[in-house]
Amino acid sequence: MHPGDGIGFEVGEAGQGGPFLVASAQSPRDVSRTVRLGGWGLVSGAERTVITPNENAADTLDVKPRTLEDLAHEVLGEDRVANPVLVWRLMQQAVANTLGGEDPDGLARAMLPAIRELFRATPEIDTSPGSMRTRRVFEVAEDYRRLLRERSLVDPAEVLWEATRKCTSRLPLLVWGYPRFGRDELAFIDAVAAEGSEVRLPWAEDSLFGANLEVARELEIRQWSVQEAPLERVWKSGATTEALEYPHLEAEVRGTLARVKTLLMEGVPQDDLVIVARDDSFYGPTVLSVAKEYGVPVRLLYRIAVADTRVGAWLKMLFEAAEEGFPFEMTARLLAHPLGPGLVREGWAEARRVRASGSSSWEEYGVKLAHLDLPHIWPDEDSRASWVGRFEELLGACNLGNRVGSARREIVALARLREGVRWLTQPEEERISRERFLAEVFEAMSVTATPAYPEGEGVALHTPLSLYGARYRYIFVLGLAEGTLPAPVAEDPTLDFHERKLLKEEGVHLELAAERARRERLSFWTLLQVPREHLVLSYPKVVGSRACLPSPYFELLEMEPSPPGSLPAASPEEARRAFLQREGYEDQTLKHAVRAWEVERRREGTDPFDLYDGVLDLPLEAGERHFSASQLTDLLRCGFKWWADSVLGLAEPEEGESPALLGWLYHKALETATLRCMEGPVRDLRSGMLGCLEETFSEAEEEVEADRMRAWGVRRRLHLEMLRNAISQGDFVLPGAEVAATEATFTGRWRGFELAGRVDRVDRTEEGLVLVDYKSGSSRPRPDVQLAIYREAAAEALFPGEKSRDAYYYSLRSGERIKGKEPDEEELEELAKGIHERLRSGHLPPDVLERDQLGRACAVCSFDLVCRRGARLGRKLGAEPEEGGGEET
Amino acid sequence: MRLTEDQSRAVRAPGSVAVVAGAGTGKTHMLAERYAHHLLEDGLSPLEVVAVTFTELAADELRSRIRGRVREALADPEEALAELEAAQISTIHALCARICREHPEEAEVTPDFGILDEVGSLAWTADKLQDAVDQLPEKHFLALPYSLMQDVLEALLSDPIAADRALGVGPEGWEELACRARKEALKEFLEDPVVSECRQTLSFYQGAPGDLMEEARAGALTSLEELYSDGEVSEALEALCGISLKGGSKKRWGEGELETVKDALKALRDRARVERRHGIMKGAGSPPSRSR
Repeated sequence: MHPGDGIGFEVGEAGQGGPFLVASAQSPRDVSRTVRLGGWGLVSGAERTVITPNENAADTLDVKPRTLEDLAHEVLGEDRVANPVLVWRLMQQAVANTLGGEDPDGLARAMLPAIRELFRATPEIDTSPGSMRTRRVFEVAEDYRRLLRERSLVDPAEVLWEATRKCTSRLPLLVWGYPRFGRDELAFIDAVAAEGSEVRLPWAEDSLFGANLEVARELEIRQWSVQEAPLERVWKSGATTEALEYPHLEAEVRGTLARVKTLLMEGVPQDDLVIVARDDSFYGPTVLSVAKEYGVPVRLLYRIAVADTRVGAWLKMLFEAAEEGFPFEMTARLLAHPLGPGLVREGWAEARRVRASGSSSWEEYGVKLAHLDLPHIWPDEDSRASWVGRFEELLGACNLGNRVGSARREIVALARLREGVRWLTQPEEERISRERFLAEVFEAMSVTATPAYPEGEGVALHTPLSLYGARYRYIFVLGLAEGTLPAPVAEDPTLDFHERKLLKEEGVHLELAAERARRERLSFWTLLQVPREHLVLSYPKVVGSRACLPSPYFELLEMEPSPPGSLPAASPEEARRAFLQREGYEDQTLKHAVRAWEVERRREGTDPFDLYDGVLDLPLEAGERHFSASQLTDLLRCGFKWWADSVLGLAEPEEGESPALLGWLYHKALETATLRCMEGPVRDLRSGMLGCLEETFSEAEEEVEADRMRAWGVRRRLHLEMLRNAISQGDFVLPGAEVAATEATFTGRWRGFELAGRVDRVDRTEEGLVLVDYKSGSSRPRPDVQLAIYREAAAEALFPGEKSRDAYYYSLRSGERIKGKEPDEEELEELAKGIHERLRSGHLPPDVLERDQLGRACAVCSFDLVCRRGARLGRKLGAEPEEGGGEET
Repeated sequence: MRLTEDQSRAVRAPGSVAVVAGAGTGKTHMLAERYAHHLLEDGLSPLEVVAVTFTELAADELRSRIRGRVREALADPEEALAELEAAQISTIHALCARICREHPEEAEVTPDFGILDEVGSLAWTADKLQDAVDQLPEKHFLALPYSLMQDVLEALLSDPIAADRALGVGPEGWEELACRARKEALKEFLEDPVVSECRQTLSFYQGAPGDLMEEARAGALTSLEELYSDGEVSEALEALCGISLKGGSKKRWGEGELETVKDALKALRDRARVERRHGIMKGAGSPPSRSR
């Protein structure tokens, strides 16, 4: 048992005689209490309760970990400190009470750090500051404190002051490892320290320790004795020190972990090593990923919100998807999540095709969501206690406890989450809506913290703060770069340094800019005290895209960082890389990789289209194939599309809204309406089709599953209106014409091509046949052979012997015949020859921009993922085979 | 490092001062000296001076230099050095973020706003914009088809200032704005050093009549002159985009001239094609017609 264990406190009543700070200063017993200013050598607790700033320092002295806050909590007793969820709720309420406004959440979040600093600085807010901004903060702070007191609670930042007020008995203490004290810490120590107590603070004749001298003087006034033994040299570590520079952050982490691994392999125990970063959450992910590659056990102890863990992310997804009625994208993500119920392969393909939406729709494809359909299984309103019970049931129904498996981080996160949600129980009988409860669960997940990677064993990544007073044999300090360590002194946006200077004149001392900078430097000084044998300080020259300068702290140590030299390969991956890069080695994979890279470089660069872009140099004989009119048009506009579609037979998986879906819908609705008119006794095609359009549109909608298009509810009416308008216009059907066929298929021959196609509509007039092709847009393809094919081949094939009068495109969008110049006989012959030539030479690149600058044809093309569309095609525009400089041809 | 006379004047200038100088001429050194001047001579605290740099590295470098300068110049530099760590020496983005954070109401942002990085911003926009489009009232789709709505909103969001200006004046002012944008694009094209250099080269050399490259040169020059003389922009730009580099006989040109002219034509064509893809310049020469 450690000294001081099990010591109890008598808790006094609030308001009886005020804070003990004053009373204790008058006590004659206090004369034997000592402040030692000087070095930070190891000490023995010797029958005193040892107080250290963190667990690492306690381990160093081999005592039970106990901080000043722990001691204060013991003084206050249980359940006196508001939990994070309540803190958040009361802060929002205080902001709303005091300032009103539209965004109490944002204001509360922004103000809380300043209010907590204020609480630590002073036990009472007994001033009304002159500045409007500061006054607002003070008013919110007072209201927040009032709300806490109504519940007999304190904010975590008030614990030391409150314990100072409540403390009725004293302990002999040894306070060790703190580099400095705040005002609340000082007051509490003075209140709780009994005769024989000792406080150690670092000190030297340097402005860095000026505040510690002031603390000693203040305690001296309160009858503490002060002993001074100043440090001889401030910026010196007792261990051998190296200063290293790495080319970038990952190299720094790799270099560091390679050394750590070497030491571990040499038999150095994990607990003798420590890695430090000023911002451990920034370095954490890289450290973890490299450590996994190297097989180095690490522990990341910084805390993240439960919302940022896998458990939190999945629950957030579930709540959102359920509230939105299980829409396709959200639900697919929910199901595919590692903690989700998973996807049934067969059902998934179909669900994806139709973009399933809604619990019952998913059910059709084998995905059971009924037990997660919160708007249906949960009431609209209930008591807090019941909501928390329902939440627990939901976790059980999702089998979340089993799904997290042995992932330690998620196990801890789930436990923290449960704890956080239990805080929502109070007041138990209060009735709140489902939306409110879910919003509060989100809040609980964002304010409840959990360790980032809480492994049981491993080399720990720490911040300087968690190493105050600690000792390790080896310490590796990462990120000693300008702007990182020291971290820039950031202003608090609520109480900036200007406001703080004004407040100081009014007796409220919040930390000023210079003090904050000195604290940062003092924190670095503490790191120099940690190593027993070896200290490595390093910085990366580049972080992300940002170049970094070495920290000015290197100058304090009179060191200049240098490259680390060669390091051993610390993982099979690194060993393999080194092996492959050795001189004279020929790697078979590398050859393929180089070749693939070269293909890729050419595809993305300005080089001409090549084999990988449809320049096949293999003849494709036209006579062996059948072409539709639109395929021949494709061949003219973009040979690559025809090649991908008709030769390679590529097709995108049908999913949701394909570019062609609307076209299918229009054609189907018009075809059915036309057929109804042809079958019935309808005299006027237009009025007949308009009469049944609503019905045929609905049938077509169902057939093509139009509701998988986004916002179809809004768009449906517009498209129906568009078709109605298109049918109503004069160009839709020529006067006196009768429909002879719709969606009529034909075969035939045209300028050396075997045809197999379909015409949207064929009308018969006295002057001959009129062939109509519906277009969704209002522009005609260029170059175009389709209408010529209709006139020259389709009409004859469909109605042999009948004269062909006309063929035209009809724009469904604008409700008019699409005008434009058609190619004459000579041009048609040229175009047909061009297609034959393309096929014969096997020249089928996606060179659409050569003829269509805006790439209109690409907008509705289904093969854009294969040709990659976009800027790459533009880069090819300037590409031509090298020529010129020779004779004229 | 000693200051030059000009630098010294800039450092000590009593009011505002603008310094224009090339890379490597000591601008950062001068800026550090001016900053130090404000501390040492004007008695300002680092918390009362704002320094803005283009990159974060430049900000780090400036802070480092000022630190060294303060250490040299002051007998007791501790307070100034400590405050220097809190000084606003940063990129303009960081400065603006701080202003918005300190004055959220005036900036019309939530007090605890965060800043998305480039990738995050793209992902967020893609996610939310589609939802926003889906929730628009039906009447908007009568004016603009659904398929175009997202593209239009994306274009407006990509340049919110221009969009604000355009939407501020209403459709009657759009042609005027478009005309101005076209003219600016034309001016920029003609002032591009690549274009001026090509024009110079193409005017300087001439091949024998009938040579294909000579025809291309003469055609390109005519199109260029058309642009310089406020002529028909669309046709001239199309002609430049369609310059053919095929053919040409060395015999009909002086030594090395054919290659030089061909290079110039290729550079001009590439530049014109870039402009064509931007699609702004077309119609720059024609006056705005009043909408009915």
